[in-house]
Amino acid sequence: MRQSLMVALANAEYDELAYVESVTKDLSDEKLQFFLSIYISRRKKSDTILIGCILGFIAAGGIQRFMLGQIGMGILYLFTGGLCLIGTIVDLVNHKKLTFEYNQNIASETMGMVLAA
Amino acid sequence: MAKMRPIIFTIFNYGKQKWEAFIWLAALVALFFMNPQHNSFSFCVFKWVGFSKCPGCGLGHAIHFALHGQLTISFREHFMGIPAVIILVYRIFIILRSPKLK
Repeated sequence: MRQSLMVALANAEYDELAYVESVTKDLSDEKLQFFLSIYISRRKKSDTILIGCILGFIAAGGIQRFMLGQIGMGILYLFTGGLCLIGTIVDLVNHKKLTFEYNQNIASETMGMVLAA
Repeated sequence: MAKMRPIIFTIFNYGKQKWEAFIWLAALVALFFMNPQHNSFSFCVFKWVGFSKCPGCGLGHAIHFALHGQLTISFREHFMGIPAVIILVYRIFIILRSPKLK
């Protein structure tokens, strides 16, 4: 695995690292740096989503869904107390997977941008 | 049994990838069959801890009636019943449609 990748995504989980590596394996080092500078800004950290889930217990539900761009689900959670807290609990347990799925989409989008540039 | 193993493995992995879709699918199927007149068990965590009302009260009933086409009763139980069905079906569709990412 390229060092620049490991350094840039030092705080990422292994799943995310492996995925980004597989997506960017054919990029030149220069293009990889370009990719990383965009990806770093656009990716979400699982800690942020975790806080969104916890806010569902003390404030309004669905904040984590809004953070992940899922507006419909966010509205549903907001008006139903996080699906009677059950949705919030499910999201809390699975927050890392939710973040990972979001980041996977971001990685694909960023690759599209890099290849088009 | 050994021949079945790769098939079971791929099905299991597919489920792991798209787990969230199956949760919502299971919830919709369960709510379709749970008749409000026959049982009054509540999944509401707020109710388990002692609150008598919560913003999601009646959502289960509302989804049940919406899935059976009785939209007026559904709306009376909870105004988000019909939107919930639409939003959840859309979410399931989005998850299942997206290409295998791993």
